[in-house]
Amino acid sequence: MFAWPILLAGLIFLIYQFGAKGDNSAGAKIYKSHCANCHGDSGEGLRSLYPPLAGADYLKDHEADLACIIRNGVDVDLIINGKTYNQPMPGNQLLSDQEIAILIDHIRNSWGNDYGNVPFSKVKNALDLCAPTSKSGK
Amino acid sequence: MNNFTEKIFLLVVSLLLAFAGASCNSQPPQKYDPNKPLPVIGPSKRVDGKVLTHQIEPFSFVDQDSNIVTEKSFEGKLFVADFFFSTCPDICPKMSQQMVRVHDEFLKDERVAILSHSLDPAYDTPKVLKEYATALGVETQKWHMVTGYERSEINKFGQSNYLVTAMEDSNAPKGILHGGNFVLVDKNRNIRGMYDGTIAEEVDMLIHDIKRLLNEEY
Repeated sequence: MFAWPILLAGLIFLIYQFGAKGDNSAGAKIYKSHCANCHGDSGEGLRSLYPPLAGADYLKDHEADLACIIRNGVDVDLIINGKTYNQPMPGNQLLSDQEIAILIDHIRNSWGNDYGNVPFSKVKNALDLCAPTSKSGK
Repeated sequence: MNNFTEKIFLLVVSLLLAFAGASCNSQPPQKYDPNKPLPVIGPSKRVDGKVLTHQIEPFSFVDQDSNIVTEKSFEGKLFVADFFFSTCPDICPKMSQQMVRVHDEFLKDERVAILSHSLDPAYDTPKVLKEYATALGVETQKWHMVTGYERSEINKFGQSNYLVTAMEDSNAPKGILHGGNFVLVDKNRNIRGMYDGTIAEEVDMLIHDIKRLLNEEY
Protein backbone atom coordinates (compact mmCIF):
# COMPACT_ATOMS: atom_id res chain seq x y z
CA MET A 1 0.00 0.00 0.00
CA PHE A 2 3.02 2.27 0.28
CA ALA A 3 3.92 1.36 -3.31
CA TRP A 4 2.98 4.72 -4.84
CA PRO A 5 5.29 6.94 -2.78
CA ILE A 6 8.16 4.64 -3.63
CA LEU A 7 7.21 4.59 -7.29
CA LEU A 8 7.17 8.37 -7.20
CA ALA A 9 10.54 8.43 -5.46
CA GLY A 10 11.91 6.21 -8.23
CA LEU A 11 10.69 8.61 -10.88
CA ILE A 12 12.08 11.66 -9.11
CA PHE A 13 15.39 9.86 -8.77
CA LEU A 14 15.36 9.16 -12.51
CA ILE A 15 14.51 12.75 -13.45
CA TYR A 16 17.26 13.96 -11.15
CA GLN A 17 19.72 11.62 -12.86
CA PHE A 18 18.87 13.01 -16.30
CA GLY A 19 18.79 16.62 -15.12
CA ALA A 20 22.06 16.51 -13.22
CA LYS A 21 24.35 15.75 -16.15
CA GLY A 22 25.05 19.41 -17.08
CA ASP A 23 28.35 20.93 -15.98
CA ASN A 24 27.66 24.39 -14.56
CA SER A 25 31.22 25.43 -13.81
CA ALA A 26 32.47 28.79 -15.04
CA GLY A 27 34.80 27.04 -17.47
CA ALA A 28 31.94 25.00 -18.92
CA LYS A 29 29.85 28.15 -19.40
CA ILE A 30 32.64 30.00 -21.22
CA TYR A 31 33.28 26.91 -23.32
CA LYS A 32 29.62 26.58 -24.24
CA SER A 33 29.22 30.15 -25.38
CA HIS A 34 32.57 30.66 -27.13
CA CYS A 35 33.87 27.27 -28.29
CA ALA A 36 31.23 24.55 -28.43
CA ASN A 37 29.72 25.70 -31.73
CA CYS A 38 32.77 24.50 -33.62
CA HIS A 39 34.59 22.17 -31.26
CA GLY A 40 31.41 20.40 -30.16
CA ASP A 41 29.59 20.01 -26.85
CA SER A 42 32.00 17.25 -25.85
CA GLY A 43 35.12 18.60 -27.53
CA GLU A 44 34.68 16.16 -30.38
CA GLY A 45 35.44 18.62 -33.22
CA LEU A 46 34.12 18.11 -36.76
CA ARG A 47 36.06 15.88 -39.14
CA SER A 48 39.14 17.72 -40.47
CA LEU A 49 37.41 21.08 -40.29
CA TYR A 50 37.46 21.77 -36.55
CA PRO A 51 40.01 19.87 -34.48
CA PRO A 52 38.87 17.84 -31.48
CA LEU A 53 39.84 19.00 -28.00
CA ALA A 54 38.93 15.74 -26.28
CA GLY A 55 42.04 13.61 -26.36
CA ALA A 56 44.03 16.27 -28.23
CA ASP A 57 47.76 15.86 -27.56
CA TYR A 58 48.29 19.50 -28.52
CA LEU A 59 46.65 20.71 -25.31
CA LYS A 60 49.24 19.05 -23.14
CA ASP A 61 52.35 21.10 -23.85
CA HIS A 62 51.12 24.29 -25.51
CA GLU A 63 49.78 26.33 -22.59
CA ALA A 64 51.23 29.60 -23.89
CA ASP A 65 50.14 28.98 -27.49
CA LEU A 66 46.66 28.04 -26.29
CA ALA A 67 46.23 31.34 -24.48
CA CYS A 68 47.24 33.32 -27.59
CA ILE A 69 45.14 31.17 -29.93
CA ILE A 70 42.05 31.65 -27.78
CA ARG A 71 42.57 35.42 -27.66
CA ASN A 72 43.78 36.15 -31.19
CA GLY A 73 42.72 33.18 -33.25
CA VAL A 74 45.04 31.26 -35.49
CA ASP A 75 45.52 31.05 -39.25
CA VAL A 76 48.42 28.65 -39.60
CA ASP A 77 48.27 24.87 -39.85
CA LEU A 78 48.10 23.04 -36.53
CA ILE A 79 49.06 19.41 -36.12
CA ILE A 80 46.86 17.64 -33.62
CA ASN A 81 47.20 13.92 -32.93
CA GLY A 82 49.29 13.70 -36.10
CA LYS A 83 46.63 15.26 -38.31
CA THR A 84 46.91 18.68 -39.95
CA TYR A 85 44.11 21.23 -39.50
CA ASN A 86 44.18 24.31 -41.72
CA GLN A 87 40.93 26.18 -41.15
CA PRO A 88 41.38 29.60 -39.54
CA MET A 89 40.01 30.09 -36.04
CA PRO A 90 38.62 33.48 -34.99
CA GLY A 91 39.94 35.14 -31.84
CA ASN A 92 37.97 35.92 -28.69
CA GLN A 93 39.04 39.45 -27.89
CA LEU A 94 36.25 39.92 -25.36
CA LEU A 95 37.52 37.22 -22.98
CA SER A 96 39.53 38.54 -20.04
CA ASP A 97 42.84 37.03 -18.94
CA GLN A 98 41.02 35.31 -16.09
CA GLU A 99 38.36 33.85 -18.36
CA ILE A 100 41.00 32.50 -20.72
CA ALA A 101 42.83 30.90 -17.79
CA ILE A 102 39.59 29.28 -16.58
CA LEU A 103 38.84 28.10 -20.11
CA ILE A 104 42.29 26.58 -20.55
CA ASP A 105 41.88 24.63 -17.32
CA HIS A 106 38.44 23.50 -18.47
CA ILE A 107 39.50 22.14 -21.87
CA ARG A 108 42.65 20.56 -20.48
CA ASN A 109 40.64 18.68 -17.85
CA SER A 110 37.36 17.71 -19.55
CA TRP A 111 36.11 14.81 -21.69
CA GLY A 112 38.82 12.48 -20.46
CA ASN A 113 41.62 15.06 -20.71
CA ASP A 114 43.74 15.06 -17.58
CA TYR A 115 46.52 17.57 -18.15
CA GLY A 116 46.32 19.43 -14.87
CA ASN A 117 45.83 23.12 -14.12
CA VAL A 118 47.96 25.97 -15.44
CA PRO A 119 48.87 28.72 -12.94
CA PHE A 120 47.15 32.03 -13.74
CA SER A 121 50.52 33.82 -13.74
CA LYS A 122 51.68 31.61 -16.59
CA VAL A 123 48.57 32.36 -18.68
CA LYS A 124 48.83 36.08 -17.92
CA ASN A 125 52.48 36.07 -18.90
CA ALA A 126 51.73 34.26 -22.14
CA LEU A 127 48.95 36.70 -23.01
CA ASP A 128 51.26 39.67 -22.40
CA LEU A 129 53.73 38.21 -24.87
CA CYS A 130 51.27 37.20 -27.65
CA ALA A 131 52.07 38.59 -31.07
CA PRO A 132 49.25 41.04 -31.95
CA THR A 133 48.02 38.77 -34.75
CA SER A 134 48.91 35.34 -33.52
CA LYS A 135 50.97 33.31 -35.90
CA SER A 136 51.99 31.09 -33.06
CA GLY A 137 50.86 27.57 -32.55
CA LYS A 138 53.21 25.58 -34.76
CA MET B 1 9.91 -10.35 1.75
CA ASN B 2 10.94 -8.02 4.51
CA ASN B 3 10.31 -4.31 4.36
CA PHE B 4 13.70 -3.30 3.02
CA THR B 5 13.87 -5.77 0.13
CA GLU B 6 10.31 -4.87 -0.76
CA LYS B 7 11.28 -1.23 -1.11
CA ILE B 8 14.28 -2.09 -3.26
CA PHE B 9 12.10 -4.34 -5.38
CA LEU B 10 9.57 -1.56 -5.93
CA LEU B 11 12.32 0.91 -6.76
CA VAL B 12 13.68 -1.43 -9.44
CA VAL B 13 10.19 -2.00 -10.85
CA SER B 14 9.52 1.73 -10.98
CA LEU B 15 12.81 2.32 -12.78
CA LEU B 16 11.99 -0.36 -15.32
CA LEU B 17 8.55 1.19 -15.85
CA ALA B 18 10.09 4.62 -16.37
CA PHE B 19 12.50 3.24 -18.99
CA ALA B 20 9.70 1.33 -20.70
CA GLY B 21 7.66 4.53 -20.83
CA ALA B 22 10.55 6.43 -22.38
CA SER B 23 11.24 3.83 -25.06
CA CYS B 24 7.56 3.44 -26.05
CA ASN B 25 7.68 7.00 -27.30
CA SER B 26 9.72 5.93 -30.36
CA GLN B 27 7.49 7.40 -33.09
CA PRO B 28 9.57 10.38 -34.31
CA PRO B 29 7.79 13.74 -34.35
CA GLN B 30 6.76 14.96 -37.78
CA LYS B 31 6.97 18.51 -39.04
CA TYR B 32 4.19 18.17 -41.58
CA ASP B 33 0.98 16.12 -41.60
CA PRO B 34 2.05 12.53 -42.38
CA ASN B 35 -1.36 11.81 -43.98
CA LYS B 36 -1.05 14.48 -46.67
CA PRO B 37 1.62 15.10 -49.30
CA LEU B 38 4.33 17.49 -48.16
CA PRO B 39 3.09 21.07 -48.61
CA VAL B 40 4.24 23.36 -51.40
CA ILE B 41 5.59 26.34 -49.50
CA GLY B 42 5.69 29.95 -50.66
CA PRO B 43 3.39 32.50 -52.26
CA SER B 44 1.64 31.27 -55.41
CA LYS B 45 1.07 33.67 -58.28
CA ARG B 46 -1.90 34.07 -60.58
CA VAL B 47 -0.83 34.60 -64.18
CA ASP B 48 -3.43 34.69 -66.99
CA GLY B 49 -5.97 33.03 -64.76
CA LYS B 50 -3.62 30.17 -63.85
CA VAL B 51 -2.21 29.63 -60.39
CA LEU B 52 1.56 29.19 -60.44
CA THR B 53 3.21 27.70 -57.37
CA HIS B 54 6.27 29.36 -55.88
CA GLN B 55 9.32 28.06 -57.71
CA ILE B 56 13.07 28.67 -57.33
CA GLU B 57 14.18 30.90 -60.24
CA PRO B 58 16.90 29.77 -62.65
CA PHE B 59 20.41 30.54 -61.38
CA SER B 60 24.06 30.29 -62.31
CA PHE B 61 26.76 29.95 -59.66
CA VAL B 62 30.34 28.66 -59.36
CA ASP B 63 31.08 25.71 -57.06
CA GLN B 64 34.15 24.56 -55.11
CA ASP B 65 35.55 22.83 -58.21
CA SER B 66 35.10 26.07 -60.20
CA ASN B 67 32.34 24.43 -62.22
CA ILE B 68 29.26 26.39 -63.27
CA VAL B 69 26.21 25.17 -61.36
CA THR B 70 22.74 26.02 -62.65
CA GLU B 71 19.21 24.77 -62.06
CA LYS B 72 19.96 22.24 -64.83
CA SER B 73 22.61 20.66 -62.57
CA PHE B 74 19.68 19.59 -60.36
CA GLU B 75 17.39 18.31 -63.10
CA GLY B 76 15.42 15.29 -61.92
CA LYS B 77 16.85 15.69 -58.39
CA LEU B 78 15.56 17.01 -55.16
CA PHE B 79 17.98 19.14 -53.22
CA VAL B 80 18.54 20.76 -49.85
CA ALA B 81 19.62 24.40 -49.94
CA ASP B 82 21.14 26.56 -47.24
CA PHE B 83 23.06 29.82 -46.78
CA PHE B 84 26.35 29.99 -44.92
CA PHE B 85 29.92 31.26 -45.09
CA SER B 86 33.13 29.44 -44.31
CA THR B 87 34.28 31.74 -41.51
CA CYS B 88 30.89 32.14 -39.84
CA PRO B 89 31.46 31.54 -36.14
CA ASP B 90 27.94 31.19 -34.77
CA ILE B 91 25.42 28.94 -36.48
CA CYS B 92 27.27 27.63 -39.55
CA PRO B 93 29.41 25.09 -37.68
CA LYS B 94 26.22 23.47 -36.38
CA MET B 95 24.63 23.67 -39.82
CA SER B 96 27.67 22.01 -41.41
CA GLN B 97 27.67 19.32 -38.75
CA GLN B 98 24.03 18.57 -39.56
CA MET B 99 24.36 18.88 -43.35
CA VAL B 100 27.15 16.30 -43.23
CA ARG B 101 24.49 13.89 -41.94
CA VAL B 102 22.32 14.57 -45.02
CA HIS B 103 25.38 14.16 -47.26
CA ASP B 104 26.31 10.84 -45.69
CA GLU B 105 22.75 9.51 -45.60
CA PHE B 106 22.17 10.05 -49.33
CA LEU B 107 25.74 9.73 -50.59
CA LYS B 108 24.87 6.81 -52.88
CA ASP B 109 21.51 8.19 -54.02
CA GLU B 110 21.93 10.33 -57.14
CA ARG B 111 18.42 11.74 -56.80
CA VAL B 112 19.50 13.84 -53.82
CA ALA B 113 21.91 16.81 -53.81
CA ILE B 114 22.89 19.71 -51.56
CA LEU B 115 23.38 23.36 -52.54
CA SER B 116 25.09 25.65 -50.03
CA HIS B 117 25.29 29.33 -50.97
CA SER B 118 28.08 31.42 -49.50
CA LEU B 119 26.93 34.77 -48.13
CA ASP B 120 30.53 36.01 -48.11
CA PRO B 121 31.43 35.57 -51.79
CA ALA B 122 34.41 37.95 -51.68
CA TYR B 123 36.22 35.78 -49.10
CA ASP B 124 34.73 32.42 -50.07
CA THR B 125 36.43 31.88 -53.40
CA PRO B 126 36.14 28.42 -54.99
CA LYS B 127 39.57 27.66 -53.51
CA VAL B 128 38.44 28.54 -49.97
CA LEU B 129 35.24 26.54 -50.41
CA LYS B 130 37.26 23.62 -51.75
CA GLU B 131 39.39 23.59 -48.61
CA TYR B 132 36.26 23.75 -46.48
CA ALA B 133 34.60 20.90 -48.38
CA THR B 134 37.76 18.80 -48.31
CA ALA B 135 38.09 19.28 -44.55
CA LEU B 136 34.49 18.15 -44.17
CA GLY B 137 35.24 15.15 -46.37
CA VAL B 138 32.33 15.77 -48.74
CA GLU B 139 31.92 15.14 -52.47
CA THR B 140 31.34 18.01 -54.89
CA GLN B 141 28.82 16.07 -56.96
CA LYS B 142 26.69 15.54 -53.87
CA TRP B 143 27.27 18.86 -52.15
CA HIS B 144 27.87 22.00 -54.24
CA MET B 145 29.19 24.95 -52.25
CA VAL B 146 28.69 27.98 -54.44
CA THR B 147 29.97 31.53 -54.85
CA GLY B 148 30.50 33.88 -57.80
CA TYR B 149 28.07 36.75 -57.18
CA GLU B 150 27.77 39.94 -55.17
CA ARG B 151 26.70 39.76 -51.55
CA SER B 152 23.65 41.95 -52.23
CA GLU B 153 22.61 39.68 -55.11
CA ILE B 154 22.69 36.50 -53.05
CA ASN B 155 20.88 38.14 -50.13
CA LYS B 156 18.07 39.13 -52.46
CA PHE B 157 18.06 35.75 -54.18
CA GLY B 158 17.85 33.92 -50.86
CA GLN B 159 15.06 36.09 -49.53
CA SER B 160 12.81 36.00 -52.59
CA ASN B 161 13.44 32.41 -53.67
CA TYR B 162 14.18 30.44 -50.52
CA LEU B 163 12.27 32.74 -48.15
CA VAL B 164 15.25 32.81 -45.79
CA THR B 165 16.79 35.58 -43.74
CA ALA B 166 19.95 36.92 -45.41
CA MET B 167 20.88 40.56 -45.03
CA GLU B 168 23.48 43.12 -44.05
CA ASP B 169 23.66 43.82 -40.32
CA SER B 170 26.56 45.69 -38.80
CA ASN B 171 25.98 43.93 -35.45
CA ALA B 172 26.38 40.42 -36.91
CA PRO B 173 29.75 38.70 -37.50
CA LYS B 174 31.27 40.07 -40.73
CA GLY B 175 28.12 42.15 -41.13
CA ILE B 176 26.17 39.13 -42.34
CA LEU B 177 22.89 38.25 -40.69
CA HIS B 178 21.34 34.97 -41.77
CA GLY B 179 19.07 32.16 -40.67
CA GLY B 180 20.02 28.52 -40.32
CA ASN B 181 17.23 27.03 -42.41
CA PHE B 182 17.64 23.95 -44.57
CA VAL B 183 15.19 24.25 -47.46
CA LEU B 184 13.94 21.09 -49.16
CA VAL B 185 13.34 21.64 -52.89
CA ASP B 186 11.73 19.04 -55.16
CA LYS B 187 12.55 18.26 -58.80
CA ASN B 188 10.07 20.94 -59.96
CA ARG B 189 12.00 23.48 -57.85
CA ASN B 190 9.07 23.86 -55.45
CA ILE B 191 9.86 24.26 -51.75
CA ARG B 192 8.49 21.27 -49.84
CA GLY B 193 9.89 21.82 -46.36
CA MET B 194 11.85 24.17 -44.10
CA TYR B 195 13.95 22.85 -41.22
CA ASP B 196 16.21 24.45 -38.62
CA GLY B 197 19.65 23.24 -39.69
CA THR B 198 21.17 23.85 -36.27
CA ILE B 199 18.94 21.31 -34.48
CA ALA B 200 19.52 17.58 -34.87
CA GLU B 201 15.84 16.65 -34.36
CA GLU B 202 14.77 19.00 -37.16
CA VAL B 203 17.33 17.41 -39.47
CA ASP B 204 15.98 13.98 -38.48
CA MET B 205 12.64 15.20 -39.83
CA LEU B 206 14.31 16.53 -42.98
CA ILE B 207 15.96 13.17 -43.66
CA HIS B 208 12.62 11.47 -43.06
CA ASP B 209 10.85 13.86 -45.46
CA ILE B 210 13.50 13.42 -48.18
CA LYS B 211 12.82 9.68 -48.06
CA ARG B 212 9.10 10.39 -48.19
CA LEU B 213 9.47 12.64 -51.21
CA LEU B 214 11.64 10.04 -52.94
CA ASN B 215 8.94 7.43 -52.35
CA GLU B 216 6.13 9.68 -53.51
CA GLU B 217 7.68 11.23 -56.56
CA TYR B 218 10.13 8.71 -58.05
